[in-house]
Amino acid sequence: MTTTERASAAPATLSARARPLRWIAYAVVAVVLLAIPQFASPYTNLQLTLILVYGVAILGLDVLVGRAGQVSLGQSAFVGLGAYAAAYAFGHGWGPVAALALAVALAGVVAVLVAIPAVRLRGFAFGIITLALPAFAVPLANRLVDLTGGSQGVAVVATTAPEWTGQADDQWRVYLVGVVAAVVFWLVHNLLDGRLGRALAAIRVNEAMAAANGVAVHRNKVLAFTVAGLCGGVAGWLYLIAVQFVSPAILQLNLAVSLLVALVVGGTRSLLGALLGAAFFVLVPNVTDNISPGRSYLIFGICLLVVLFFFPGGLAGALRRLLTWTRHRLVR
Amino acid sequence: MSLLEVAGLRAGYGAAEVLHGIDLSVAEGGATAVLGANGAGKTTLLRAITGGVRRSGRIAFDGTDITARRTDQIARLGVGHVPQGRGTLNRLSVRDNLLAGALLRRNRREVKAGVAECLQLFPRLGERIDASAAALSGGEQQMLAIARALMGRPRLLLLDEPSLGLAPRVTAEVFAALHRLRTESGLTLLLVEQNARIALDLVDDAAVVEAGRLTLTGPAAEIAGDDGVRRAYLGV
Amino acid sequence: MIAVQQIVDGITAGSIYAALALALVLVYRSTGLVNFAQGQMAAVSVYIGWSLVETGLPVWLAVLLTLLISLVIGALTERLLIRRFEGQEPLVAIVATVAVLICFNGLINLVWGGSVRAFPSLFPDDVVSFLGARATWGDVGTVAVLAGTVVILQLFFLRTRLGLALRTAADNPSSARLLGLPVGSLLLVGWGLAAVLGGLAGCLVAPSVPLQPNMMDTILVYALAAAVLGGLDSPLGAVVAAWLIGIVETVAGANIDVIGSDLRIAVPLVLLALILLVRPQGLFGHRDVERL
Repeated sequence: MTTTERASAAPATLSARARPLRWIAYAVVAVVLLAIPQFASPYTNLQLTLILVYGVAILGLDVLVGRAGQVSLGQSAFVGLGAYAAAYAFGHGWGPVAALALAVALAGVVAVLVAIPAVRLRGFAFGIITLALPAFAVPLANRLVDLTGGSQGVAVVATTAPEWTGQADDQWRVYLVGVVAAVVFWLVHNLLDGRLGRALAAIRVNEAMAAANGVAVHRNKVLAFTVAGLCGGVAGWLYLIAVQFVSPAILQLNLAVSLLVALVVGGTRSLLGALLGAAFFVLVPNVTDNISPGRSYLIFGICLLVVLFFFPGGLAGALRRLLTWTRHRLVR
Repeated sequence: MSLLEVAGLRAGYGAAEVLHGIDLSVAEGGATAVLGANGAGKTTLLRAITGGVRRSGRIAFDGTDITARRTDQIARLGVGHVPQGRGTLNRLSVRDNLLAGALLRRNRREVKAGVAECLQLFPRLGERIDASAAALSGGEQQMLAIARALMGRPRLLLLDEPSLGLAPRVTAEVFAALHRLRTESGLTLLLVEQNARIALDLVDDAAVVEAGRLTLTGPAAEIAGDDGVRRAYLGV
Repeated sequence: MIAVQQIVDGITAGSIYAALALALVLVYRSTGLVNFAQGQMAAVSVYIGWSLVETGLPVWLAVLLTLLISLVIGALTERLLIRRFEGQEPLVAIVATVAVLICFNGLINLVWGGSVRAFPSLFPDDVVSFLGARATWGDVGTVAVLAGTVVILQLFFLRTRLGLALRTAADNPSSARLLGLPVGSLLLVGWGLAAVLGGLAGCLVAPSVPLQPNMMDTILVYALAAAVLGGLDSPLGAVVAAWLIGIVETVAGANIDVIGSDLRIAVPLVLLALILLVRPQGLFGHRDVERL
């Protein structure tokens, strides 16, 4: 989604005075973010953790949907798969790293297997086929009771805060999830900075032209799908760490659609957008519930429409415009 | 009075301005060609007249100011526009394409007569009347696009590069039909063309657009005789 | 053993999917987007119909009024909520339709609450026997209404001027404008008609399922599969695909033990996947020609 930015000449460069100001601003923000869990309630910390969890899931989805232009309705299946794999691992005494490896490996394998035939389809056909992922996943989770605990789900104690940190469990989880999420974001960012990113951009704009220009369209689409799946798997592991519980609800189409909506609300093709979208998805329903429980869903829908109407570039796009505006002020 | 009057027209896409103040007029029954290289703004000129791009200045059709009107409103006033790339309705049949051009006309019998006239003008279309427009060749699609525009009985017809992508023989066929149109129905034409030779042969007046500005206007014969034009557009 | 009964049941179910699939195809052809809210809009229609019946109107009149109201709802939705997103990239438009879905769902919960209700049938309850199969008049009526609707739609689109205008606007909106057609108004009509079809689907299925806000969710998935299987821009394709899906789902559900009620939804998706593997453009679709 292209942000409609006011056309101006070259972006205003910061004066020599203002540039160190920017780094100071970043540092302040970082310190504030790192400090929040120390003062926030366990509930707030859980919210923060969930934002990071879904942020990773949305980031992965963005690679497939936002960058490669392939609408997918299956991301929840990968998140759920990762969460169940992690639950299995933790439940059988594996360590966190091994659990993560299992989650990622399973998600990756399923993604590749589904992607190879699926990416031959275009547009909405592809999207509807990805529906099959949650459609199969939920009944499977319900039926394989030995593995998954059936419709009741599985509760595990995934991690507790180590003694030497002096942190409470909820605080520890924010930091742990935050670190892992940061690593994933960094990895995906680097991945997209190179050939894959350019190939996907070409594919999104015009597949036929990309192919004519020598881009291996199928292979790159499979790759994008796999990255989405891998991120989903990681998000699932993170989810289990955060919530300590998994049930078939996480696999549902509902969540897959919500992730897609959150992606657009936050802003496609933007790392910040993934986080903003996750924040919207986690926080706004709580707010609307507080305003009026009976009308919560309706108000949420209206909020969505408002964001889509007024911020076509998503929240990230709006933020970027705001920053550009303030930067112009600073230059003056 | 001129059927079409354009004064101080500026137009463009997004923040970019492509036309920097064009003055043009076409008399009723006349024909004007707009020549120029790729990117000079010829297509933008036609789009501006029918409301397809952001524009400012003054555009008047038969005395009515259409500068701020919507495309469909302008079309209903009697301006036909055959766009670049033909714009045929590819999922519809040839017959449906023609009928679509006459959707705003009430009289069924007249519409039927109109179809017959078009088929007389472009016999090739008659052979393919039930085929899907997508199955037509480039030349046939061009004929279809022109015929469809004619079905609306326009008083002014804008044509955007009718010869684009067509073989010389097919181009000659299309322009022969345009000649017939002029003599038989006195239709006013504004023609944008890269093929200057064949365009100048058809029209009364011509104008040359370069980088969004008119650099030369005058009777076709004069323009054809101009050295600069001969070198740039007539390959002499 | 494939019984005639299963085929009959399959065609009945398929007819419901077909009505909603037709709505999806209509919207796709005219505006180029897939309306994920189509099912929820149909649910709103059904609830309105229920309210009308509650006021004492005979069922057939209530349904007729409902369809008219659906026309208005569809047109207003396009004009006020969707028009903004029509030129934009498909992803944003899809998410906009999801937002509309959420709004309508919330609206139903707000106005009628989430408790389950019952909707009366248009047709008598008796059972009819033929070819060794049994069907209620409701089933027969559903198939008949659907078949009749298809015929009417075909006549409308192919033989009337408004139908031609809608097809023109759907095929090439910018050319349509150059021909003097008020494309915006035509899109409005397209969405209105689609909403009527959705409302019809809802009213046909309503007697046999509990009325709740999510009632059309599963049907939407079937309808999406049918629309895509049919080729997304072919009305005839959507109907044929819907019947096929109905039959396969019923037969598979009855004969293959592994498929319980929870996996039935996977059947059309698997069918879709298999057919699309061989024929990516769907049964009746056109090969997408992407211009360089």
